[in-house]
Amino acid sequence: MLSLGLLIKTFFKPLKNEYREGLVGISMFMGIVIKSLLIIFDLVFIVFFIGFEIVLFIAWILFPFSIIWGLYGAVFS
Amino acid sequence: MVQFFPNTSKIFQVAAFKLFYSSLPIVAIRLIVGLILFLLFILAASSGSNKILSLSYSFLVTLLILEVFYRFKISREKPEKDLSRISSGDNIADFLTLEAAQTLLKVPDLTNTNQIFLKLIGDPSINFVLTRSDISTEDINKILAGPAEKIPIEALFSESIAYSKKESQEYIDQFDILLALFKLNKGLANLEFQKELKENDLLNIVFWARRVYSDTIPFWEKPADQLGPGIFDTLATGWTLETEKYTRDLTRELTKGGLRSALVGRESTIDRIQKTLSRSGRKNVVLIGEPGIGKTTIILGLASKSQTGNLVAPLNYKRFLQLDLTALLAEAQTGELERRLRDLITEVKHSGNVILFIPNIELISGSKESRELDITGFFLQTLRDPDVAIIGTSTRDNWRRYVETKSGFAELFDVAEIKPPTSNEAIRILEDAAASIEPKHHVVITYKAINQTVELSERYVIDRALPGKAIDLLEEAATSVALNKKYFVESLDIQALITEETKIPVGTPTGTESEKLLNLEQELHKRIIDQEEAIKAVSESIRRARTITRTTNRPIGVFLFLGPTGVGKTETAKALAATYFGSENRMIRFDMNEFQDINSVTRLIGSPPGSSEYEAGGQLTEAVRKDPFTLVLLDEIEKAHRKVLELFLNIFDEGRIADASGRQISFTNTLIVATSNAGAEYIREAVGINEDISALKTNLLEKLQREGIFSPEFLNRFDSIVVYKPLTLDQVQQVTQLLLMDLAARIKKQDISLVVTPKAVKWLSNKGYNPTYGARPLRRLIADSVEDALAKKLLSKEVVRGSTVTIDIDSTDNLVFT
Repeated sequence: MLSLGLLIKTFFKPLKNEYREGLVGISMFMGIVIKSLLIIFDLVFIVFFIGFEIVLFIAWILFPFSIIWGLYGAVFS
Repeated sequence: MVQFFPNTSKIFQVAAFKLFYSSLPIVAIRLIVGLILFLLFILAASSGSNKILSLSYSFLVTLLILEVFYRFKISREKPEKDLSRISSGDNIADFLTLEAAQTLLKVPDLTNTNQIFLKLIGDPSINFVLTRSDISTEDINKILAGPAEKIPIEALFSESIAYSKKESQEYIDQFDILLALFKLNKGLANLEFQKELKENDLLNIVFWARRVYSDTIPFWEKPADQLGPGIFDTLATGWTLETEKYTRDLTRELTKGGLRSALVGRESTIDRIQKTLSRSGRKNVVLIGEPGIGKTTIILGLASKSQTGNLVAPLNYKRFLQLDLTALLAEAQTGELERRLRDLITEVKHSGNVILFIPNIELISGSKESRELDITGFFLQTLRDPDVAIIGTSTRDNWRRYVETKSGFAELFDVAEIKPPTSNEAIRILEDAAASIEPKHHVVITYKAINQTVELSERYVIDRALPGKAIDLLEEAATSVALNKKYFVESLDIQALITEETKIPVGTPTGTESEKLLNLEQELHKRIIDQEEAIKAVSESIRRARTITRTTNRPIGVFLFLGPTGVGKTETAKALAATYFGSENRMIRFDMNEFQDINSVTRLIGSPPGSSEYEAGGQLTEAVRKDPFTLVLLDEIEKAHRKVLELFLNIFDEGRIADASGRQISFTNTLIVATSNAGAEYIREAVGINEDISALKTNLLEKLQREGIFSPEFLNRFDSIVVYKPLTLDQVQQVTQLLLMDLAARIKKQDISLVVTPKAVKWLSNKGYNPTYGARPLRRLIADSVEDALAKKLLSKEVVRGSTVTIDIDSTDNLVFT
C-alpha cells in the first residue's frame, strides 16, 4: 500500500525513470532524497499503524470483558 | 444412498437460529432493546448515574457482540463439507448452503415439491431465474394450485447433487434444488416444455443468476495484493507524456466506467498471455482471430484483472495503452512520424508499467487499409527488449498476408489463436453482456432472446464471428425495443430484427405462411401445368427448410430441371419466387451461355484486388450478399465454362463462397435452380415411344455424362434432378387457359370482362403449339392476336368500361371479338 518495497528496490534509480542524458544524475539524486523521505514516512506510518492495530486488537479481545466490568460497576458503585 | 438428517446438521442448526433471529418480532425486539439501551446509556451519562450507566453499557456491549457475531459469523456459515468429498454414508444436509437450509426449514412437508417450490420463489435470485425463463406469476399460480406432488426428499437431493456437480459447484444451493424440481415435479416439467425450455437452457439461466447474485467481497476482506497499487508506485514509473498523445488509456477508462470488461471464460488464453508477458525474455504476443471473436474483450479483461490484482504479480497494476494510429499519423510531416514513434517507444520502454496494445497490427505492417503504411522497422529493436510488453491483434488472413511476410517482425510475437466460443459459451457471454445493455436501454432481456440471438446470428450473420456478432444484434434489438416503448426483449424481437435486416423469414411459420407452405403444390400449379415431379421436389424442400432445423449450411434446395424448351422450367422457378419468396423480383437470373469463357468466374465472384473491376464486385456474390433470401436461376447451365461449374460445386456443397475480396457469401437461404436443354431431343424421342419416366431419367443422365456435358460429381450435388416432359396438346390447352386467365385478370382492372369460348382456346392452343419450342410461342400468339385486337378496340371505343368481350371462332376459322 505504501510502496515501501518498490521505493527500496528502486532507491538508486532515477526519479520517474529519467533517461535523458544530463538529467539522469540529477534525477537519481532527487530520487534518493524523495525516496528517503518517503521511506521514513512509510516506516513512521507503519510503526504507528501497527501500534494502532495492536491497541485495537487488544481492545477487541478485552471488549467482552468490559461487560463484567460494567456489571461490577453497576453492582458495587 | 443419500441420507438426510437435518437435525444433526450444523448448517441446519445455524439456519434455524438465523431464521429465528431474523424473524420480524425478534428484529423488532432487537431494535427496541438496542434503542432503549442506547438512550439509557446517554441519559445515565448525562445525569451521572453510574449504576445505570454501567448496567446499560454492559447490556449494550452484549447486544453489540451478539450482532457482530450474528452478522460476521452466523450469517456467513459455510457447509461443513463440499461435494468433492461426498460419500455414500454422508448426511446430505451437511452439503447444503445456509440459504438452501433456511428455505427448506420453512417447508412444512419436505416430500411436497409444490411447497418447496413455493418457498423457493420467495428468493429474489430464484425469481430472476423464473422471470428470465419467461415464466409469469400466472404460470406459477397454476403450478401451486395444482395437486400436491410428493416425492421422497432423497430423490430430490440426488438430482440436486447431479446438477451441482454438473456446474462444478462446491455445495448444493437453491438453484440446484430448483433444477431438480423442474425435473421431478410434473407440473414444472410440463411448464418447462410449454415454455420451450430444455435442461441446458435452465442451466444457462441459473449460471446467469449465479453471476448476477454472486457475493462481492468488501475491500477490507480482500488480500493485501488485491487492494490496488501502492500510493507511491508512480515515483518508480516513467513519464508517458508523449505516449498519451497517441494512445488511449484503457485502464483509466475501465476505472472510470467508460469501458466495461465482459470477459467470460477464456482461462487458457489468459494463462497463455500471462506466461508470455511475465517471462524474462521478449514479451510480445499477438491474438489471432476472426472479427467479433472477442480479441479486444480479452485485452480489456486482462486490463481489468490487472487493475484488480488478479493476474500474476508482475502483471498487476499495469497500464494498458492502446495505440491510436489516427492520432499518430495526424498531421505528421516528413520526419515527424519517426520522431513521434521514437518518443513513444522510448517512453514505453522506460515507463516500467505500460503494456502497449496495437489493435489490427497489420495496419502498421503495410496493409491496404492503412495505405501500405509500414512502420514495423521501428518496432524491431523494441520487440526484442525484455522491458517492453506489446500485445497485438489481427485476423488469420491479415496476419498471414501482411505480417507473416515480414518474418523478422512476425517471429518476435508469440501467436495465441482465439477460437470462437461454442453456442453455449456464447450464450453465457451474452448473459454477461446483457448486464451492460439492460441499464443503457432500460429494458429486460429474456433468456430466449439471448438464445435466439446466438442461434440466428450464427446462421444468418456469416461475415463475423461469435460472440461479437451476437452482442451487436442483441444491442440493436434492445434499442429497437426501447424505441417501441416496450420493456422486455423477447425472441420475437430478435426474429423480427433478423427478418428486417436479411429479408429472411425466421421463426416458426404461422398463419398464412403455414397455409401457403402446406398448399405450395396447388399454388404452383396455378401457374404450372403437370410437371408433378418438379413441383413436388421443390415444395418438399421448401417445407423442410422452413420447419426443420438444418444442420448444414447448404442452400435450401439445389435442383436441376432438364427438358426441352418451353415446357415450364423457368416458369416453375418464377412461380416459386413469386409464391414463396414473395415476388418474381426475388429471383436472380443468370443466362449461363454468357459465362462460357474461363474469365467468367471473375464476373461471378468479382475481380481480384488491383484490377479496374475490383470495386464492382461479383454479379453473383453481390446479388446474394444484398438479398440472401432469394432464388438463383441458372438458365442453360450446360453452356457455362467448366471452371464456372466447379465454382458452383462449392456453393452447392458448402452453401458459401468467398468473393474476390475474401468476404464469405452465404447461400444457405437461397434456392438454386439450374435449367438445361441438354438431351431435349432424347427426352422427346423417349416420350414419343412411351418410355418409363424413371428409365428415361437414368438413360438421360448416363447420356449427359457420357457426352461430357455434366460430370458425375456435378450431378451428384443436386438435391433433385427433374426431367420435364414435352407438353401434350391437352396440356398446351391448359397453359393457354392459364395465360388467358392472366390476361382476363389484367383487363378486369379496367372493368372489362373477358370470356373465351372453348373453341377459341383450342384454336389458340393449336396455333401456338410447336413441338420444338413447346408453349413458348403461345405467349407471343396471345399477345399478337388477342391483346393487339383488344388494344385496337379500346382505342376505337368499341370496348369501354363495363363491356364484356367474348372471343370465339367464326365460320372462316378466325378469332372474333364480340
